Amino acid sequence: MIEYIIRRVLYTIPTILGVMLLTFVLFFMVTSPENMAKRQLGKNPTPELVNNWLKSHGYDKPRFINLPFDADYKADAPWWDSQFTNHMRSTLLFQFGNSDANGEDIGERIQKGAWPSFLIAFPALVISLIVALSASLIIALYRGSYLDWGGIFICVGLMSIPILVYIIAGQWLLGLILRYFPVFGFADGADSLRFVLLPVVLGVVTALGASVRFYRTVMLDEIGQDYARTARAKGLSERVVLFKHVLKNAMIPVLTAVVADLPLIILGNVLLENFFGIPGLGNLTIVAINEYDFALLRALVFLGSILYVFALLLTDISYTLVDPRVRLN
Amino acid sequence: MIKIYSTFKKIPWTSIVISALFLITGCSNYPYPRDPLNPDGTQKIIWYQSLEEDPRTLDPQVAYDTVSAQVLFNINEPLLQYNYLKRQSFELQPLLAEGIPQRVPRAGGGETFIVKIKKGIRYSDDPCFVGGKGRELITDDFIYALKRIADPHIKTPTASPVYEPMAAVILGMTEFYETAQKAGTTDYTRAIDGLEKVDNYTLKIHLKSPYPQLKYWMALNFFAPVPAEAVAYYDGLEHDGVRRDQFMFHPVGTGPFKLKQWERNSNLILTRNENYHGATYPSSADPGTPAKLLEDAGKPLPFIDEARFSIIREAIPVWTLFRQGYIDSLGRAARRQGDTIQQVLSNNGSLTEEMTKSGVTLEYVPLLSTDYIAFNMRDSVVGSNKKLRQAISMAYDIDRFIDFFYNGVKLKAESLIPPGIYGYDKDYKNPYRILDVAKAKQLMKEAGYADGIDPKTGTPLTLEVVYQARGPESQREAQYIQEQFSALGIKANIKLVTFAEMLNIYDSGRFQLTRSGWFADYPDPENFLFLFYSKNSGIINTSRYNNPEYDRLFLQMQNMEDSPERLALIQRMRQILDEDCATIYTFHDAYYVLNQGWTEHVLQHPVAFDLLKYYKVDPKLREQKQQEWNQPNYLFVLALAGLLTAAVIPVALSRRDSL
Repeated sequence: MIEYIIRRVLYTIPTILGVMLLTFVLFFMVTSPENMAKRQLGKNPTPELVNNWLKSHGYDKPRFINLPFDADYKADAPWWDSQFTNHMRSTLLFQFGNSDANGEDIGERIQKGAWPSFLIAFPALVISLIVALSASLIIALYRGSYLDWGGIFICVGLMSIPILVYIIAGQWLLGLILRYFPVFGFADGADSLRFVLLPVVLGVVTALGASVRFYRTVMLDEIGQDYARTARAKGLSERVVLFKHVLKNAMIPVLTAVVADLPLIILGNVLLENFFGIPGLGNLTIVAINEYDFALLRALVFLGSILYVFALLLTDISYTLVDPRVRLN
Repeated sequence: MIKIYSTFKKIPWTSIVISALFLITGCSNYPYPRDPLNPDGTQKIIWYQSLEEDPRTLDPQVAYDTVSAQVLFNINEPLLQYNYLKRQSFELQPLLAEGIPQRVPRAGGGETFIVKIKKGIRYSDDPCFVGGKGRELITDDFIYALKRIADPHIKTPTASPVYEPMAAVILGMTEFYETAQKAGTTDYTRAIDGLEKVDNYTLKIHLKSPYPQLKYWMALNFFAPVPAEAVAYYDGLEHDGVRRDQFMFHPVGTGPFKLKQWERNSNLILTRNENYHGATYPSSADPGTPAKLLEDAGKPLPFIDEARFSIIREAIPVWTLFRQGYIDSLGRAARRQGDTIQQVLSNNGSLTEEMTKSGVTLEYVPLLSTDYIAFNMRDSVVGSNKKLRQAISMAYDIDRFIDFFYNGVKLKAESLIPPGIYGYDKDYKNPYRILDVAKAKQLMKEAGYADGIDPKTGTPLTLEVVYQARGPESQREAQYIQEQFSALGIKANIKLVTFAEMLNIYDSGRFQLTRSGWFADYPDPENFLFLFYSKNSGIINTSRYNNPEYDRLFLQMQNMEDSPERLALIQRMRQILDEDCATIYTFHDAYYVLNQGWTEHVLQHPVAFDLLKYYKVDPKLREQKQQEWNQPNYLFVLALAGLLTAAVIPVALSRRDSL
């Protein structure tokens, strides 16, 4: 297993490098360092000011490689001294540097944003998991009844509605009409609870449709297995069959779905955070895009790719824990 | 023991936890931390508003956007200010200056502005000062601030409209800029010839040529003094294990407020400056000003203790918070609420009965701005064919555009100068902005494009219109342009671009037609007529308009005080511009603002941003209304719970096997 983990960790290196390269290429396909400079320098900057900005942020160097064919070639610099290699090196060393937009320390901003994102995403993930598993088990228990059909109908309905509609309708109904929750804002400490409740409720509701439907299918697959029939034949109650036998065997697809969502605990939910004013990393991603802040964006993408790669590794390892038949080699 | 465990298991813990959470939160939709008290135990009077984004910077020499200005002007004061209650003809008043600066001619040409600074004004207390106590404002602070305008290593909006006009008139400013650029660093001990310190309270600004508009610059943030120790102290680096802010995040000024907290991407709080020099509510106003607005004449400012700005990028939460009574005024953010505000207006343009009953008031805010579609005068097709431009201008229906996209709120533009600026004539009708498609078709024929057919190709004339993509409405606006051009048989290809690309296109001139416009920095016709001065070709003179007579008249007009002679020149310049049709004038911007009933004398201003000090709020009435409007309704939850139970019980009861 150790060997497997080492091999998987090594696989992450080309994956992350690929993500970084893709981010770099895509970002500069959409805009240019000169456009970034103009965005940061306001209306009508002089060419000198643009050049000063490019120089101070390292965007005056060749894009990928410092060779004489490049218009920005610097004779006194080594061949590897380019925008891409410099960005890549500092990011891989977790030296995120300062924001291109306002010079703030990116590491500090990420640290500050991680907690508010966690406060929304973690409870939403846990509650939606509990609710979805319970609902799917209940639906499986009453399979074929109107509860089953009604449940599926509601799930399809929930899945078909875009998240933005939930947010707008949630703010209107639960904030403005029923007046239960604040629709915007955030506070530190215990006071943060009332600000995270509505985003968490909406996070749970938006996740329910797809997960209940998926878990129901998994449960129904398992319910029909021989071991479930044997358990019932032994005289076990349906509750014990479901919770002790079926649920345990359904854990592999459940884990796959849940662990893939783990990075979101840190990375946050872009739309929810934006509409509710939660100063998390999802919100920060929007700021980075709006402000053409490549330094901030590349740090967030890097963090995201690392979290995803390690979440997937964690999924594989967790399989061995829930199913002794699985071996990692 | 087993019994206890079994009982424990039966308790519906999940329900208890959820109920407890509901109880803890008290089911309140109040969106702020509870109001803190003043040091003397009294309730703080807080003003609540939203900003559509974080201020880009709070550095007075750098900020050049309205969001930053809404905050910054309340912290950093310039030399002069506008009378809050005079908008029919704007009136400059001394703020940090002792009287309006005197203009005296200089030997050998040019002129000198003699600026007397009020004595005894102190900066707000801040750790950057010795002992943390704000020191007195002196002439050196103004000289330092003006040197910062000429520093190529900070992000001052260089070129036009800030550095270039200053460098063009203030002696020695260009040399200061160029020396700093060459050296790669700026030496602030180096003098600028045009900035002379007479004593601690007198500054002389020597100009190469007369420039009466300098008085308006003295009311802008670029002329706000800056203590050099604050710039040095707030360097963004770590000192003794604590990272300091950058200066752009930590302004230090003499204004009525100082920055208390700025949680980027979340909120920004201003609190009273303990060292504020004091100012009083204006006693003079435009004729016809409601008496209520003058009730507090002569009273000391400011009226509020704190201002809390929530940073809200989306329009929907702002509107919801306003409806709940948690925002005192929509302020400038109302510009993004056009459609929503329209829903609370009745057919006669007044507020609906429901809104009126809740005490909300409506303010119509015309801005000093002009929006237009610019022709590229260097383009071989549109630039060289005046009749073609005139034809397009005559066929473009702006009234329908304003009705359709802006609910009729904006004002149709007949010419360049907007209402409120000297030279605007409300009775003037631009002969080429009168909608007349038949006449436009005749002009097309005369232009060599009968029925819109390009004789060279035998196909419809195709023009490219570059348009900035601001949101979904940009696509619809682009379609509207296509429809209007098609009335003349012209095919319009719309190129939607980002803001940065738009700046590049303005800069390079790679377009045939593009949308452009201008918001006044100050209320002088020069600030609009310079948009077509040939030497400003580029981002300012987007059209690349070049008319020697216009240029000559502009140079003559810009140095004159308002007078019949100046008015005659302005009218002639308008005539030249309108005849040449370098642009299709579209509209002068305007918007509605809603204010809550517990606010008093809350007005927007077209060019001034130091408004918080005039705002007044009745916190008791606010609290009462908030409670009245935000009582939680529990029936829904009970009904939902009942519904779910009703859905589950029949099927649960119908199970025969034991669970």
